[in-house]
Amino acid sequence: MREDVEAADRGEDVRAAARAWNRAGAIDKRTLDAIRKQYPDDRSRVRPAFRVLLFLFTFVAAGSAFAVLALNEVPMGALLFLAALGSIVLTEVQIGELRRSSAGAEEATALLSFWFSVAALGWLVEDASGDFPWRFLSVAAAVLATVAAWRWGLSIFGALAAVCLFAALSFWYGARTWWVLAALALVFPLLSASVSPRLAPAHRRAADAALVTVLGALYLAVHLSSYDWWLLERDFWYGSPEGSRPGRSFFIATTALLPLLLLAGGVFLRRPLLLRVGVVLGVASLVTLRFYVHVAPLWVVLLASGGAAVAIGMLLNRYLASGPRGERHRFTAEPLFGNESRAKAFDAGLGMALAPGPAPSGTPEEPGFEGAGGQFGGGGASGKY
Amino acid sequence: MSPDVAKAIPHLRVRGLLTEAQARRLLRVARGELLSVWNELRTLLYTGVVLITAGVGFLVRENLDRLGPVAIAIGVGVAAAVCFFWIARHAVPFTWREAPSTHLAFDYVLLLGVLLASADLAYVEAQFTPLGPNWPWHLLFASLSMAALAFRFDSRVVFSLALSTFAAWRGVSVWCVDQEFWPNSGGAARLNTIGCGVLFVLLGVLLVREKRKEHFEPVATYVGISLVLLYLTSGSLTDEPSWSAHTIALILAGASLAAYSLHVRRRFPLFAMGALAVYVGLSRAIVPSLDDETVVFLWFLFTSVGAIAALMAVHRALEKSS
Repeated sequence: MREDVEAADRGEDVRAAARAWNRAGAIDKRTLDAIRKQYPDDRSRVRPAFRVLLFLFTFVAAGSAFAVLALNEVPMGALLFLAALGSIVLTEVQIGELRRSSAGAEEATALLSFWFSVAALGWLVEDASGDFPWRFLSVAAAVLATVAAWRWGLSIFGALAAVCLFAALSFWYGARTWWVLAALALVFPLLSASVSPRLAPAHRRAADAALVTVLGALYLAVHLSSYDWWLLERDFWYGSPEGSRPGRSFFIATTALLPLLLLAGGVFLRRPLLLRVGVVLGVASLVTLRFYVHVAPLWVVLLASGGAAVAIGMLLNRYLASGPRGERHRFTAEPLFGNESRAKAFDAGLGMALAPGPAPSGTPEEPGFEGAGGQFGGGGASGKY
Repeated sequence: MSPDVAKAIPHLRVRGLLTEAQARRLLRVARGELLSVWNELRTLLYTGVVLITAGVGFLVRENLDRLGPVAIAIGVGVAAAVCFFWIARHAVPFTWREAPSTHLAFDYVLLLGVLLASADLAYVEAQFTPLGPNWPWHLLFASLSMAALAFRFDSRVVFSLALSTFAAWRGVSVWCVDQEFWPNSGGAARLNTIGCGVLFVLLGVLLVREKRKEHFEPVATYVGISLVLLYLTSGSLTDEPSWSAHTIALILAGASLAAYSLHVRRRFPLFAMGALAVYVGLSRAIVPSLDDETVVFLWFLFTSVGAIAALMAVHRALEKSS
């Protein structure tokens, strides 16, 4: 990463924090302006709506240019290399000369440069050997994504690098073991990288993205269903062999324990990311439990788990709020300096997500109560329940 | 946790920009010594509400014969009443302004109560059919009740649910992706869509003008405009004779929205929706008349580059004016 980009990134981190403090009422507008002067921004940034539009139009423009050249019989190999090189140069110019940051267009060209580079390499190697080189391509893509993450600091490349690495390991014999070993080898360096003061904030975010992917891969590798279905073994592609394998109890234990370990790690290391991943994987493990063991009818499980979630949420909130200054063990249920207003705007979307199905237009027939739980709407029913 | 912010705070304190008390609290957060689980708890509560609502659906389905319709209707009704009782105990007095939240779970318990009550209403309607063939009217009743509760208890979640339930009453699903723009529902559903859209936008205008729950306005406006643009886009992308009229209307509506949201309201997501609508409309009008594939891609290439340049220019002008 260029030094000026890193310096701007660090300054933006402070300005973003100051904006959050101002929103939460911790500092006034005058102090916010003074902090902005202390940490001036030399980057060309755009508002989120513009960022989305610029990203979209850059993609359409680049894709159309590629299609025009391809239709006019420009040799595919040359075209792919040209497109990759062009996208890299465009990204460098935008981030360097034009000092763009979070502006949509440079993010689109960065992503395009990755895809075009991988496609160009695939074309080159396939042409030479006659067989498509998935393994080589996955390794190359992992390396390219890592380099892109390092150079441009886009967090998506952190996740892409991890995805490509695990895709590459899938082609090796004993992929499951490799996945576990690779994940264990990466978790702690990534945990350390995501809070390292030596790294730029963009690199820390990329490390976070990679960490989430790595934890997901680790969970998949030690998950009971993936073991039972031979998901990471070559046999999966040719039909899973019959009969059980040894060591199944190990996978039962790991499916249950990994989310708990992550939750415990999140509490002890004070890392919200581990808490969130732990909660998501915990839900996945509960679903797995329901899949294998029919402890009770589905409605009991849903009501019990829903009730438990609400009860735990309310009890934790009460426990934390009743502590001195609304905190216990250095945890609080207050929003602190997060974006509370954005969260409330998001709430409106949650209401929409529970919208009932439409009533049929024209003369409606009388509804028959089908009781199809999957259609159970929020604000009423569509006659199907 | 942010090492750069943690490093900056002592500097800001030395320069007198932060007081000692401010710096101490901010530093604790920046160093990760004080951690908020506010978002995590909210997610947990929302997940719980969704699971309980789904669970009630399955309970009714699987136990209808065993429990009987009266027992089920009373049971679900009592559960909803418990939620409303809790809400009544924790609610602040009514105000037309934004009310402070008294409890992290307030919105979610209210949402659960509303979902259970409306499910109960739907169940009663389905089982005992008091409205007969006019059964969709229960959706209107549910929607109006939700709106009243949303206003009383100042809940954006319930307000958005009220709007989507109202749209459902008119046969419009906000999530219509699975129906591919209502292939079999014809013009009635489309008219209902634009009708709901315009009504919601007007509702938003009214809320602001009358200074009544002004903070609900974005919900009504965004949903309303989405429905209007969806209607125009779906009409424009069909092969029906009216496609050209829809396309012209889409372009005009998009351009007006973009200009209005940029110059009057400074609401950039609306500007993005308007700009996209104009681009889709123009492409729909021009592309069918191009018979060469290369020319089609050249159209997208040049118009996209033009759009990028225009967006950059608009953004620069905005920066200068602010």
